[in-house]
Amino acid sequence: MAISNQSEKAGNSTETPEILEGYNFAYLDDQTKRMIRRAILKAVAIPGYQVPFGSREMPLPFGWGTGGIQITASIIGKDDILKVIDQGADDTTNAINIRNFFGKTAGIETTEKTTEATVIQTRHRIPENPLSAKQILVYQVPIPEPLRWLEQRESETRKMHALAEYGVMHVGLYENIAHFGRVTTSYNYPVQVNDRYIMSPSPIPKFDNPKMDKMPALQLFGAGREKRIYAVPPFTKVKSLDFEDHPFAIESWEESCALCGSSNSFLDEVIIDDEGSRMFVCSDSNFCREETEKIKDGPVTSSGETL
Amino acid sequence: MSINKHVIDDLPTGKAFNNPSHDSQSVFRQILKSMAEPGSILTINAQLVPPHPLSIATAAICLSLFDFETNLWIETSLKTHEVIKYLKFHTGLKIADKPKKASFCILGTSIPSLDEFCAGTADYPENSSTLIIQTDEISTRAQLQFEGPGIKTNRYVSVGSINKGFWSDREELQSLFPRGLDLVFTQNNKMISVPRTTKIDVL
Repeated sequence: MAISNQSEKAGNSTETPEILEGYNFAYLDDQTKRMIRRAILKAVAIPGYQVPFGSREMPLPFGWGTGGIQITASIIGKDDILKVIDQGADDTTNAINIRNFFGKTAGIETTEKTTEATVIQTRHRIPENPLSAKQILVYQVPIPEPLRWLEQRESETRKMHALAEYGVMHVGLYENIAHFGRVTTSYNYPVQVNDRYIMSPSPIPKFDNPKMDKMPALQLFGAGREKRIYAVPPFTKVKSLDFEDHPFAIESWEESCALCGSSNSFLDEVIIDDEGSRMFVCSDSNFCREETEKIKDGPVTSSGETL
Repeated sequence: MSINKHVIDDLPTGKAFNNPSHDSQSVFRQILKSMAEPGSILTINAQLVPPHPLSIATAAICLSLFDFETNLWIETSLKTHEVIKYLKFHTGLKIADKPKKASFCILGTSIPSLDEFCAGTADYPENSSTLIIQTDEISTRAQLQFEGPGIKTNRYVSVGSINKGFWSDREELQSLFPRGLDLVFTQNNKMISVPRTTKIDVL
């Protein structure tokens, strides 16, 4: 089976599927790509502002990354190397299918190695390895409007963005502190870009928010159902909202990764048997694999057994 | 026959992309990089033969981004019959009679007052014109200092001599952010982009 093959071929370029005949390069027609490209340029010129675009029907449902796919399809070229991650992992259904989709419709090279990729499409994580100026990070976004939870009307949120009237956002965080003693938002934590627009970072854990700040790579965000594209240019200030007496802080764990031993990556808690035993492992599968390879005797569980 | 003669007369001279889909993509990536890294000098490698006085970079940007949805305004000195024919034939764009109505404008270095152009609205700042300005110099000579998003510390470049008052007018316009104008300077096959967020000091 293709899936088990891919995980065995750990870290190497994945198998290129047969190229489908009868489609334009990377699926989308050129007129659509031009429309999306013009929207991307405006998004880059106005950091954090959500540019409306004519989102197309894709051969998978909205909510499965159609926004990210349309951006990737519009920017990718023959010489690009694509990596796709879903919650940090290269080997989950969404990631494998999107990678195969571009393998089939564009015939481009794909990889699991973060450092090798020129375009990285992601759902809900930023890779642990720092990204370079030669890379573009494409986020899949479900709800692009950070104010939507507090104000349902698009006409109102648009006004609020136009006037930089963001008080309600801080009131929301304040109420959270008043109820629970701290800000309990752990993912999709709102940020302010270049001291102007408040932006949804997509549902990445707040652990990843600091990586967005002054990142050398260009960050593009696509929301297919909501028909919005926005962007953060390289080396742009991205600040997570907070208060002086309640500064922004990221998650931390007492455990370290059970496979690679890393103590500074984002960990997933995995239940491993019916007794409720659990282990913590890196959510970034490529990072974890590379760290594991550095260990001579192979991965060791927390109880000291070799896997 | 007269009908055929008419059709042949309508064909533009010059040469466009060899492979429209792939060439548009690679040119777009250069434009994207240039817009994301203001002040970086990017080179277009497409084998184009655009009609005079369009530069290779200007023509490549047009062929890559324009179609029937784009309104283009061209400044009179650059608006030759051949240029219009070339762009219309290869992209199907519409020509705007006023800069305010255009989504893209092609200009030389004598730039009219920035009030003439559409800077978008506070609600929809993306409905602004992008100005493609053909200049006589794009180099790393320190004439302008760039600072802002997309720039780690700062970049120093020269975009040739633009008419007096342009940079101060632009600085004034920046107070209206998010409204604003995005600029792309071109010379031969080189380009530099200046999005509305870039802070510029004239040295």
